[in-house]
Amino acid sequence: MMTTTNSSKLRIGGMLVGYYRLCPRKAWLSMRGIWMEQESDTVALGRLLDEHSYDRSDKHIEINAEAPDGTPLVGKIDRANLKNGVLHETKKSRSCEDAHVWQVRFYLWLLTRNGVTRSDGSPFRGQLDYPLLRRTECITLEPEHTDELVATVSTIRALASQETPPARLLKRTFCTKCAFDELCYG
Amino acid sequence: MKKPHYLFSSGRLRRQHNTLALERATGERSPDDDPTDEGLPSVTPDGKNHPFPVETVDSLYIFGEVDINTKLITFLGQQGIPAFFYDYYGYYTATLYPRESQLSGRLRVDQARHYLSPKRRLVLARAFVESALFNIERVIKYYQPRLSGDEQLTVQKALLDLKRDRDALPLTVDIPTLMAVEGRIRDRYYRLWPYFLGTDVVARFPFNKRERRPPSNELNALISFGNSLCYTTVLRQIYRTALDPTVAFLHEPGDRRFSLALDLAEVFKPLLVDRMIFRLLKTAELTPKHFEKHLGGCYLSEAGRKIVVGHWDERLSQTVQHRTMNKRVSYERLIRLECYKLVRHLCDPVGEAYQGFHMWW
Ligand code: SF4
Repeated sequence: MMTTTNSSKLRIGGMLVGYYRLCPRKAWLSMRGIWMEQESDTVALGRLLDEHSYDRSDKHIEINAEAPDGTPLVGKIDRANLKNGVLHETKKSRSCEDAHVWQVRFYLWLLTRNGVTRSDGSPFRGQLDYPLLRRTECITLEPEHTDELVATVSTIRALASQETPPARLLKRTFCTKCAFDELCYG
Repeated sequence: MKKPHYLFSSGRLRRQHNTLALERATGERSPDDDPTDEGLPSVTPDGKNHPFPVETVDSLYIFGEVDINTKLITFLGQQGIPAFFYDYYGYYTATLYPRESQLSGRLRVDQARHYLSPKRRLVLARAFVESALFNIERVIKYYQPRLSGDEQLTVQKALLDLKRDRDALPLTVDIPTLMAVEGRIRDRYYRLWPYFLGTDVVARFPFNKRERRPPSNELNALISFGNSLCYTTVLRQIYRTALDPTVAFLHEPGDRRFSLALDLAEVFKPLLVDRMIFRLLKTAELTPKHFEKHLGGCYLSEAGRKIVVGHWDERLSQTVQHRTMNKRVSYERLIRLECYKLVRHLCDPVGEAYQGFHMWW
């Protein structure tokens, strides 16, 4: 049982789920409130993209839900097209694509748990937008994804009450692109 | 690229829309207009603005007599720009440390826990002293081959003593003992400086021992000024991390407000300060005319300070190939990496124990 105040207050968001998919250590550090200063050009570019890519309307909708184990979940959705029932998430490059995909699936899950559907009763779909690459990718939430999200949430809860950080990734290919690179290896 | 800005002129520094602007003062500054406490502006601005974009400012070094107001302080705070103040004599006086943006409650608790536990504190304090001694040894070994005769022998003996002290570090049981070891080593090390500097330099700059308040001669003034630059450089790196600069391990929180910067500065002084001093004196970039005597103390003149600061700034951007990171990093970045190592230790003192920076080149 997870009984520490630390994990009972934990709210899990889409970015954290994405981090966890990439690297549990990154998720642990960010849950500790340890962030890397956003000083690289790429991060600034990401912020710019976020602010200027699209019209500000329908942006940053916050939704809350509860996982089956009671963990509060929260999502800040980039943009949604309510009429067509599509959730959008904007990213600058596909370098961490698996994390992006799971982030969107997480948001779709939040909608499902809130009973939000399209007008015809079918579930929302997701779309990843890469404006710099002029590409989009469609995402759906299948039952096996939901199962995996449930499992991920409870693993993240366990991770949050862990005293020490998980080990660094063995393969450093991803690390060189990770903002925590210097913190882990410097 | 953000860089520290060094302001030598006096005047009024203010926010101008979203930039910083300095209005220079008319007339020279002299020690006679030392702190009068009348609440009046201490300068007469010349009415001409010299703006500089805030995006390029990492931190401010204020060597002149500068008037500031609350709006400026708020602005610097929003932009996360620390400011370091120096008095007329080039004495570091204060830091304006903006409210921290990188906060981690848990890390702060861990930091305090390491301070409060004598055992954990000692581990970190020892690591700082150990790497300071290692780096001192490195500097000595760099100069040793150029010496001969008696000097060579003295240095050899000093190295032996140093090694003995370093080997005995794991046995030290408390902070005062550690401090004493460090002090003893530094004294012994300073006594070798005349050999490293050579007879030419020593003829111009006699040096026998380290004296701080006030610095009794040119070399002591230079060491004090260099050490203060090192301290503020470390502090501005700590600011970019989630570390709490007030909680230190080797030094007591009372030693200076931001004593963690003192701890880390010990590690970097041999590389950054000491080698800079040798360089500036051996190349005669600094000569006795760059110093002034006043009230029984010795100080760098403004021209002297400019030379030191220029050299310091350049030195910080020098790069070396990092041993594990597969990229080149600047000397300044090495300090940041040291902060990160400390973060790792605080999160996991066993699995990721702090290993102080050792010069590897
Ligand atoms: S640098 Fe590598 S190990 Fe560290 S958080 Fe990033 S991905 Fe994980």
